[in-house]
Amino acid sequence: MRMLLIEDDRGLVYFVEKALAKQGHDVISVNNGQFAAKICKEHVFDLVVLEADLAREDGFEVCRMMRRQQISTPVLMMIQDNLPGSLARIVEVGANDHLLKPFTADDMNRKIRKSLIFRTRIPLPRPVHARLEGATI
Amino acid sequence: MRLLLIEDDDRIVQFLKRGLEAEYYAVDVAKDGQTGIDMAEGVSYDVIILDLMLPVKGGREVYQHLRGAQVQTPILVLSAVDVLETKIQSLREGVDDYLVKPFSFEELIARLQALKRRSGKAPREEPELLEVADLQLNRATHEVRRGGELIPLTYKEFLLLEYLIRSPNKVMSRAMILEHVWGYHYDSLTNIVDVYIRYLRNKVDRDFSKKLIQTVRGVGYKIQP
Repeated sequence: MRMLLIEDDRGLVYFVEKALAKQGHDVISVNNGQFAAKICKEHVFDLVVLEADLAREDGFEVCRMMRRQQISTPVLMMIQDNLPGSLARIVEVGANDHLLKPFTADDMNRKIRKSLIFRTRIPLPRPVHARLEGATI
Repeated sequence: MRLLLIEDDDRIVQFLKRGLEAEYYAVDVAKDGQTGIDMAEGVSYDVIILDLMLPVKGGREVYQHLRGAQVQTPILVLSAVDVLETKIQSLREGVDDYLVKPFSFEELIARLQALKRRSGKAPREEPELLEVADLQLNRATHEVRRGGELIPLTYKEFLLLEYLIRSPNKVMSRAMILEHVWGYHYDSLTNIVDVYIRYLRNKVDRDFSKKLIQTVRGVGYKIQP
């Protein structure tokens, strides 16, 4: 799967990149929302992993901005606390799920698997039947 | 084909950049006249699109300075000024073409192609076909071949390879690549350059014993015959 990581903490970038690569995922990492939105329009990602607490901007607002720009890729937000306010903001800005810090590689992989399963539950179009000289296709 | 757009109106910049990149131009943007001069003197562009009404230094000052400094890159003025005297003055003073806003994007592309055709035999012009060892990149048809075999590349992969192949043996830093291919100028913590180099290697080098794309540790990448 191809993933976009938005994180500005070098240590966490290294940890997440390694953990995702180990699972066979292809990871592009960036450290800010503006560049993330730009490359989201140029690439197809299966999942965005987004830091809520970026140093120079609010990760929640990055998610909101991406949704405003019609970027519909599922977003997994890494958050510092799971207080009702934070959980409500996740829904409000259009993120799909959260990952509470600190987390292990296993925690992250579980959440990612869940996010990707949800992604495949998008209803498929109903089969189209056509008749051609008596044959059914 | 590498193009410098000197324009301060964000809406026009966004519109042109998107359209020109879809036509496989690598677009660098300067939002004032002085930055435009610095960039045009520092990098060899195929063509410059220049607005006349710019902050810091106006468009006329820009083209006068560049022609005075012997920068012969074709310049197309894109201006809202639809005054005959201004057009004649600009063309007489060293501008190669003049297009009035609002304009048709198709006309702009046709004029850029005509400029390129006219300057095609100029000694500064880079050839359409760039080659390193058995790797060929055709800037006109956007085709890449290695050992005669066609290699399909995405738009960004093509821009990245073109950037490396136009200066064989020269090391391009990650920051330079990021700026040229993604137009991103900020101090950015990102691995996107390394990821795209990997994509490119998988297509260009993987099936060949001679590896052309080289990593220069701690600096960047180069292409080496």
